[in-house]
Amino acid sequence: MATTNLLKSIEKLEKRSSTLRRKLLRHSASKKFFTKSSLIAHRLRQRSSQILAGAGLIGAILTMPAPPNLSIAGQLPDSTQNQPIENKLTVRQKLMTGLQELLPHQPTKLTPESAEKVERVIFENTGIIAKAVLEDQSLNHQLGYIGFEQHLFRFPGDSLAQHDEIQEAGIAPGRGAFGYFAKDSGSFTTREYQREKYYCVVQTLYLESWNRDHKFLKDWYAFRKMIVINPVNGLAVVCDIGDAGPADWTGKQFGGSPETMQYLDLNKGPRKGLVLMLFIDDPDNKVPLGPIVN
Amino acid sequence: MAILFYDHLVAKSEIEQLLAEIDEAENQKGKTVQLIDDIIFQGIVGFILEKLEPHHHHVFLTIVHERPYDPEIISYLKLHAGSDIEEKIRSEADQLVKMILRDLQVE
Repeated sequence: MATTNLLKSIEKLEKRSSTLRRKLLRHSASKKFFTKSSLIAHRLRQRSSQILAGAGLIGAILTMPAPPNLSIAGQLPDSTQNQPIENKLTVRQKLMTGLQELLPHQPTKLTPESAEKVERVIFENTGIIAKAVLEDQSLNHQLGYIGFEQHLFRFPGDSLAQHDEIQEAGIAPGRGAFGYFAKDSGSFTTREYQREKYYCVVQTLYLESWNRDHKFLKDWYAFRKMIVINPVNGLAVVCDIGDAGPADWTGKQFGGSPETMQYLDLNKGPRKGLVLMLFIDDPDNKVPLGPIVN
Repeated sequence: MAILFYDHLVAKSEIEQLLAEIDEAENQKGKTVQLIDDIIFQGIVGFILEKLEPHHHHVFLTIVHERPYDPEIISYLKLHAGSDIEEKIRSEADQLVKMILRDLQVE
């Protein structure tokens, strides 16, 4: 190994750092961030530590594997000039055009024939295997009105202040129907964080077999992954079932977390809208929760 | 030390080994470590900005600023900068590490 003169090395490294910084500042958006002292690596590490420690996440993040490949991303067509117009449309546009003609604009249980067509449109445009009926289970509606829900307690001792977004939505007074997302703050990982962020609510309580098979059904539906699509604008979110409801008298069939409703663009005015809600067949847990972008 | 979203793509063991062998005051070593961290950060973020369309820059930098640890940043990049972005970041990081090693091995 060559002899090292650290002071000379520091001088060289400083020059290199300045060169890279100048290069970064050529991008106009980065000027805003990089002229602030906060966007430098060691400060971000400190910030990361503080945020993660606050949420009890450090252990989970350090041991978690690299993020899974987005099945959606891998299957999107490249937008090259030689492709037909149909392939240049975004997923959102394709979902809109593909679904709008298939779906009645009212709460509905899809027939097997319509469900198959809808499932095909979703698969062809997102790569997600969506199902109206999965393992003999089906909801009373696949198309229904979704309402804006409050945040849920994620673990005992959680509070609204610990939720990082849309705190104005408030927090439901009790636990979700399927219990806390994590048994305590120590076992609260990014998985549970995402589960609450993108939770949805379905009417398990009105399932025909609910009273008879309550125990089995509760386990089956708890945190089950769903795809929620707003057919009016094509926006779609992968959610998990975090609570049961809403009551029939509300006129709604589903509920969505504040973040889900915001992404679906249903967080304004009556904070309600007609959506498609299907199970996701994802036995290997490859489909990530959250918005389907692009 | 808490992680940044790209930490798993940067192989810094040679740098760490070299620094461990250097017989210098700890404060100088600490300054060097910080400088190296910043070089890698600026290098990788600069590289990503080159790969992203300009209209995605603001969102990307905002997420990095607010949630620098978030694995969703990589998912975001896969969608907007290509599904092979992780490999590209890894390779860029390798280049940065080589440059840093050259700077550290001054005669």
